[in-house]
Amino acid sequence: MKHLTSLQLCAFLDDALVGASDDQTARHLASCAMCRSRYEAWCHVDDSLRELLGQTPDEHAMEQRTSWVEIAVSAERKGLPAPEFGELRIPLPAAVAPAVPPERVLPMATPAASSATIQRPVPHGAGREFYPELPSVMAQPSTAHRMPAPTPMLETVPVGDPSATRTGKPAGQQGYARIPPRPRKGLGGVMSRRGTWLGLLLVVALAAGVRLGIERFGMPEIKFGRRPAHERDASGRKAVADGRTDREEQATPPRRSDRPGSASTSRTGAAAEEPDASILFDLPALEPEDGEPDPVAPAPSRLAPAADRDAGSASAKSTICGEVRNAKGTPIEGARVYLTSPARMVRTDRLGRFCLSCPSGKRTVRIESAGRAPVTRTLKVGSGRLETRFTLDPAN
Amino acid sequence: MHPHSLRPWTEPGRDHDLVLAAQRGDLVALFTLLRVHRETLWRLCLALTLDQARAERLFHETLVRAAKSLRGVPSDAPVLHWLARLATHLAVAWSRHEGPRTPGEPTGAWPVADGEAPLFSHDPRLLATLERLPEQDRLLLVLAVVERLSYGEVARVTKRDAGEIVRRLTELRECLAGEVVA
Repeated sequence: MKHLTSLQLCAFLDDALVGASDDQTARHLASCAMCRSRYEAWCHVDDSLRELLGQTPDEHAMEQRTSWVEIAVSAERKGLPAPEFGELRIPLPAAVAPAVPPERVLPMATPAASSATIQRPVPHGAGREFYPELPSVMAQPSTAHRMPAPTPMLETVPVGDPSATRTGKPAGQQGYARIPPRPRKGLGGVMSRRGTWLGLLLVVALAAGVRLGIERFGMPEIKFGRRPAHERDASGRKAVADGRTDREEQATPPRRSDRPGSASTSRTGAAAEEPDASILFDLPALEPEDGEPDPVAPAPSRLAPAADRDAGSASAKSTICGEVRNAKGTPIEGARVYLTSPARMVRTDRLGRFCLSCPSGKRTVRIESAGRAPVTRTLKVGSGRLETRFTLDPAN
Repeated sequence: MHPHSLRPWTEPGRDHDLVLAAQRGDLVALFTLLRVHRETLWRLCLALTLDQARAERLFHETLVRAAKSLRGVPSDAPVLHWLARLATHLAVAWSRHEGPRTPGEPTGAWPVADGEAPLFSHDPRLLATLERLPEQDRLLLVLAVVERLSYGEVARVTKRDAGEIVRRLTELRECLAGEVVA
């Protein structure tokens, strides 16, 4: 006699056989004790599985679990940090729960005691007012209670903390504490801190201040790295010259035309305050050509008295011009030409030429160039233009 | 009687409409959808974890993740299929991460029948055998034995071949019968 295979028995058990196959299997089971006992064992397993895994869940427990899900989903939709499952499902310690009934009002406590916490039961559906978009089906009380009273949830509440009341009620009124939200992580958490916004505000204010300063005073010249030696010497000498000039100007009594408000004063002051282009940009000082007015020199004021005009003519500036060449007669470009009194420095141009305006009298001119021996010469400068020539020999 | 569909495993019923509304942001539709299938899903979670506390957590996480990823719901099948696969994937991931339940691990309050002993305590051999099975096999048993789905429907839920389903169910029944009878 041929017994049923396991597949046939399994299919018969699951009602997967139809027609003749089902009838033949049923007749075989009725006649074969071995297959019948096997079939009964499998039926017993199926019944046990249905009893174990097919139980109908308790309605109240299902309502509570669904409420947890709805709270988490609502918080997620509102952009709030969704409570973890462990935060929702807080077991109740039996020793603590009866101490504080749900109706009892939490008293105010001293600040020293505000750090203490207690646990008290949370009513079913707690936290619903924080998620007003929860549907009304959630608020429906469960009708079937086949199990004994469910275990109430507990939440930890700082005792006496007035901010712990759920709706901001003053202490003394009944209310439940709100579970504090967890700190947000990532960029949202950083942007939610007050210090981040204060820092951003400070940076914006600083940037606005810098921009206003640049608009008011101009962009400062910033040089990186160590400057060449000749530039450092030039700037140092210029600083010395500016100091002397300042002292001389301070010693000179102000003229009537230099009073505040006069047009000549503003013009002269602007000329005095205007920096020398050769200092700012390390270029040779611009010297006026023959017959061309000096833009730097102050214009003679028609309002000045005759004595002043006479004094101005006595101290009329002359010009020392010249050229610097090497021993072979080749022009030297960039040679430094120093005037000792008043202290000035210019550089020679591509043709080795230079021009210096100075008061008439004996003036000492010193020529320096890298790799060549310096030359110092005293010139007697009269009114007008003095032409001279310097020849630099190689340094030993 | 099921308020949504008499056969939630095979008939989508209003599932598709509720999914579309939930995808547009309708929380009421979303919660209605979750409530429709919560009892079936709870049975699945209980079978996948064989533990009350773990089943509660799996039930919660499955529904929360389902609400987050509603756009992945296939439109040509009941939502319950998708929920079952989601719960199984979560259970497998947790089992790999946390390991199987140890004998000393505290379990949650297991539901009792008529105030008597917990349901699982009456046949420890069957429970021990079930605990050794992988989550996918437990899902097969629940779908075929408890939910009484046909092989084709089980194959559609698990996205496996029907012949493979029959063979595996036969092996599982032989294994369980051998353990229980012995």
